[in-house]
Amino acid sequence: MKKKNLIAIFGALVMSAMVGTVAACKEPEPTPEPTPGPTPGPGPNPVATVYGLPEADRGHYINNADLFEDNGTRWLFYTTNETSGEEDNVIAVRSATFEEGEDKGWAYGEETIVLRGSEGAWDEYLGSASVVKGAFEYGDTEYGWLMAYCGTSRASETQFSIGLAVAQSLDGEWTKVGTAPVVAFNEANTGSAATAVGNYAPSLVNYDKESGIRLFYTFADSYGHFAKFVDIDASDLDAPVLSGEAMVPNNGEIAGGDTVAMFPNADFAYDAASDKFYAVKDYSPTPSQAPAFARRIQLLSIAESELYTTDAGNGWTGIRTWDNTDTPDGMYERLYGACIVSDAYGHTDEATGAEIVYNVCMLEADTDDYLFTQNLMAFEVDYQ
Amino acid sequence: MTKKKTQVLALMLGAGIALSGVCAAYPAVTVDGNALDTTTQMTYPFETGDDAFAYAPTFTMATEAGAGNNKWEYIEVKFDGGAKDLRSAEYLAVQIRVDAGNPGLTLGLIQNGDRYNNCVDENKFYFLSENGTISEMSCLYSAINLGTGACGTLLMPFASMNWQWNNNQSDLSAATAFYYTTCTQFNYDYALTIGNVGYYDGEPGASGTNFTTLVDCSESERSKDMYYVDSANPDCMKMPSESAVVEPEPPTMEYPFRAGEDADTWAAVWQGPVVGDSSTNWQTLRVKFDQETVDFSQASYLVIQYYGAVGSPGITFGLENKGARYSVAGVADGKPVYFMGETDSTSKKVANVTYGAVTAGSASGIMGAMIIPMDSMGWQFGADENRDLAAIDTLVLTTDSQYNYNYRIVIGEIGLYTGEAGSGTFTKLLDLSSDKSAKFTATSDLEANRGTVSFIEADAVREMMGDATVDIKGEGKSNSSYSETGVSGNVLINGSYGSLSIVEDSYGEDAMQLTATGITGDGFTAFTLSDGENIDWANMKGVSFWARNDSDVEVSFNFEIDCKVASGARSRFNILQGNRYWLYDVNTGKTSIYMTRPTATLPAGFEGWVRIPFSAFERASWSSGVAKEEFMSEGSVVAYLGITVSAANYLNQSFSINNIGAYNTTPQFSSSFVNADGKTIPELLGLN
Repeated sequence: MKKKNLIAIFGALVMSAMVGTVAACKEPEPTPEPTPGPTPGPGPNPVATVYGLPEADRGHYINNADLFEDNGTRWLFYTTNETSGEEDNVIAVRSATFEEGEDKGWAYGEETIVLRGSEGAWDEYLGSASVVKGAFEYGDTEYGWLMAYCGTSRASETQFSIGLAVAQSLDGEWTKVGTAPVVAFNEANTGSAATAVGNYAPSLVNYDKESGIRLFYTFADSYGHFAKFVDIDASDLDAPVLSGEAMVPNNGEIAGGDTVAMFPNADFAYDAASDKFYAVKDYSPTPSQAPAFARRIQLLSIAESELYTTDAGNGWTGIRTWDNTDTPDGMYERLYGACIVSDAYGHTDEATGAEIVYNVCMLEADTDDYLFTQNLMAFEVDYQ
Repeated sequence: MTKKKTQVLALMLGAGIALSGVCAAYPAVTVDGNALDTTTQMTYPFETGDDAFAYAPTFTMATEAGAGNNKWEYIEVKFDGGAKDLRSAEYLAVQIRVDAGNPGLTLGLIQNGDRYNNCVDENKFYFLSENGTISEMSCLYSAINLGTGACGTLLMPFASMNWQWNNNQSDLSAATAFYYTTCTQFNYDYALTIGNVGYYDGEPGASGTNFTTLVDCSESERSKDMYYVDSANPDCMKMPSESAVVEPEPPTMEYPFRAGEDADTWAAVWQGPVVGDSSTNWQTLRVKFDQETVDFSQASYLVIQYYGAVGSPGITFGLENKGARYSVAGVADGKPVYFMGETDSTSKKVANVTYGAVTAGSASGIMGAMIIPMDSMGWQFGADENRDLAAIDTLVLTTDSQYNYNYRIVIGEIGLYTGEAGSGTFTKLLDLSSDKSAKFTATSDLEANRGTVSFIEADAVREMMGDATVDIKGEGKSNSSYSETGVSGNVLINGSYGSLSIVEDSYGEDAMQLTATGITGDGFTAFTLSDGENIDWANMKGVSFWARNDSDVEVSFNFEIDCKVASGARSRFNILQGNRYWLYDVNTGKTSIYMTRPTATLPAGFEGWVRIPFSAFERASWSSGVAKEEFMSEGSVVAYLGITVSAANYLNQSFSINNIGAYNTTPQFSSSFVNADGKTIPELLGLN
């Protein structure tokens, strides 16, 4: 796994703690003192309840969240590092139930690591999971959950592909589908392939709430970052049926400063009742000052029919753009990697507003170990 | 004289194509370092007053906007005594009078066909009136306007002039002529009189500056062959001595041929070689009649269904009997030839026979009848015993590809007219209501550079594939190349080096494999696939074509499309980055919505059909006249279509293309759970 020497780990730890305090708006739980006594007997491990979005432990980070709700339980998938101070990405999940009461709310349980990179494989370095519910068969076994994630064999974190994994329970065992990605990086069709990011930021929507999966993702090379999607009949994942890829429209009220409007690092949700898709995306271009993460995020919607034609329509309708002035005390100059909180199928049917979970990060100017300051925060917006 | 380089103009893709077949582009500079200004005191260099232009020809140009299919009219005034060394010249002086209108003139000097002129905008030029006042003009759109009624001397600082193109390393050491040119799209209904021409070797009016005369018509009219005229008006040039000449009335007769959409069915398309020869190479089109021989002995006119699609070649029309030829080259120059558009009620003079040929520039782009009076022809050569108009067996058209090339004319039905125009009798000699392609033969002296003849098939007037037209095909094209060693084939390739090879498409039909083979010029290889055909894509949705990426990486190329609208305005459009378009891969059966990156892009391994919406096209930054909203609007046509490839980025990366047309219905994306409602590309093309 990728290693990184941390020059100023102490500074990072301090900063991480500070970020976590603000991000979750909740004092961190004190670390329990070792308790002398008899060895505990069998039974459930004690759960460290976190109200509000969980924060990264010291020397860790949390990014690229996917949050959905299923039968009153929220499931938060995210990318984190398994080893403190290392960038050894894994995909983890926590579940949450809502508790009424002062200083309570969504109570998140312990972190479970559900997916790791396979050494020497195309997904040795992975992250950015998106999960939907549905009916999937793989290797003669029925599964109820499908995950898309991005991965690469290159430690430089370029040339990403997108793969699938299935599970029967969200915090149980996840099985990778096949040994090859479902959307593979194609060097021949990539500008400046050696340094291209490739296919990243997968975002799943279970279109028909059965096995009709729409996989959105971002493709990035020297021409820019643009959103695409591919439809998959995932009923039989031993032989999935894929459509051709389709570029998502990039016209309309897209916030950005590029000559050709880009659509980077986006998460999507489907409102079947009104035939609309919603997306939350990073602003482009990114600042030159590290980290090169976006400084704004934007929530937009588009008529579903516009995805399927090249006829000029209205394009995207901008709903809301957030920047640092919207963060607590305006202290975060990086807002990026957001997701729309949806149901378990990636739908937001007849929703009157949205909850957006996004990443914040300190600047390199503030700490050399800014990567370990990545945490989650949330916005709510009313569509009216 | 100090040149101040204030601005380097970007060389723009496609500009060379618009201006010239093969064009070496030069970086242009604007300058503002001329010592001459409006306060300069100088002696007027030529005669003034009533006698100033006593022996000078007057050039009366096209009277209608867009005449001759937006023809670039061209007048050349050759220097007395041949080439002159102008390397020490500082100012060109041209005695000129604007008799009508106020045209925007592009003008300058000619050497080896290269043009040194006022091509750089904002550069300053001056006009010295006969009363000694000097006015300043700024160049705009590579043109200057002298002003209505101007009469005096145009002073052109050499420092304000540049090589617009220079393919022969010209250096002004052997300039042969002064010239001007204008386009009828914007400049028409004007007249100029051009008198003497000379130059100063220093600042005008300064001591030590000498003036040298290059063209002198102060004492008498110069020979008419000291002028070269290419105008939509065949009687464009008039010497003062010709002012009283009364022209005969053009013949009036009922239009004798088919008209309308099917008028060109089974007509022959004579395509000249795309490049000229270094020496004489006669291109010949021979046409047999329905009868073995025809009696022209009583004919008053030879009448030929004619359409000038590309270029205005000088054609020698003739009639042959056993090798004896009766042609327009058999009489002295100056005899009239007429043309009647298929919707016209009368004919008009299209040309005076010049150099034994008919140059019908004003008829370009119009289907009609070429009406050649029999007394505008005479026996050119042949044995006396065969000089018999009663037994003509062949219509012969010839032109020398040393001077006339890359032309395309359509020859349809043929007839003769006996008696007075209007009251006589028309007899059709070649009826093209059926395929008569065997009666046409194209030959040339040199087989290596020979024109071709093809035919407009009855069922191919507008070939369709489902909802898409098929307007440009590999069929009829030949292997062509442009390289250091020369050019070949019948497809014009210019800019950087390139080749076009005929290969098979997915269906075994001829397709065009395009390859950029070398980097030179502006770095882009340009393939001209249609020029002057005025393809109707109005109100369609976008461009449809078959393509295959024959390389191992993604390949991008651009469509260079000239859209001409009903007003006659014409602009270049091409594809920009970031637009969505369609790819249907015939091997995978999948349809994708891809992105122009940066232009029309074929992924590695792709083979199938491409649809690019017109919305992906924008007007080229250097072009003007047609707004984006007018692109492919009602009444518009595609006047030019070329494909350009960045030789630097895609050197030797081949791709193939065929069946270029326009589609009527926008496809719909489809998948296992999204229904396209019959609008998949294979369904729309009728491939299933």
